[in-house]
Amino acid sequence: MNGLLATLFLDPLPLMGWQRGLLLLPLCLAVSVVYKAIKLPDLRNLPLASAGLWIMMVVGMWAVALVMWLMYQLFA
Amino acid sequence: MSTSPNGSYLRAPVAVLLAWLIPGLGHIYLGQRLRGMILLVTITLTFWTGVAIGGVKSVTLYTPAYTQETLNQWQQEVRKGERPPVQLQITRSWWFIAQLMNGAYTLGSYHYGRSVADFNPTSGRTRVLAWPSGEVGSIYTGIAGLLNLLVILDALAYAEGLPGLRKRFTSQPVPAGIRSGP
Repeated sequence: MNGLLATLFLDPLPLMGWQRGLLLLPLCLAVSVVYKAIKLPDLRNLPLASAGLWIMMVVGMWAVALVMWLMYQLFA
Repeated sequence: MSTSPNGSYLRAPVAVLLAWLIPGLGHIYLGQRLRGMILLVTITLTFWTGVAIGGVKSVTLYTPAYTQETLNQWQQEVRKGERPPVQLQITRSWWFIAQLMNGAYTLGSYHYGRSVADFNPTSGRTRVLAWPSGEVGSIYTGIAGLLNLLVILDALAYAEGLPGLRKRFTSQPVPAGIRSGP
């Protein structure tokens, strides 16, 4: 634990294959929250609006990734 | 440059400078405290998550380009107490332009990263060009910078009361008492 804390922010974390896909989730969440925080006149709607945008972004990007993977499998 | 309700010509430049220095601080200065706090927390978390994943060396203007062979050789020789391999060439990291929009975070990370060795002398693991962590770290910190560019523009539009810019980036009404753009 101490070793991890000592090297956190200093050494890159070792990432496994399937974990890379999960890193899309917090990044898309940050983009959706910032965009909606700027866009919305009333911040009471922020959680719902940013969650909707987040889902749309994640599903859209995974759909694009799936289509590209299928094309690669078919034509490569 | 328009004047604010209290007649200060420094309102817009100060807001932009604060927004660049610390994300969200410009909005807090302009009286948008809740909005500013949300932006501050979100962009700060995104930036430092990127640094945690990719290491401090993912925030850099120049990335030393080692061949994979050199990296492997270094990892074998590091336990023997050998010197680090010769840096072969320098490649430019274009993500740094986006990262620079994070102001103090980027300057602090960049300054600290320059003082850190490219290899961990204990484990022998590389701190540069780590795949995929380094790339993910650059993307996270770069996206945080691009988001803060949006925040800086919004703070400028809010301070100046520019309806055109404001219409493009936000639907908030221009506060009363602030003169619209030309």
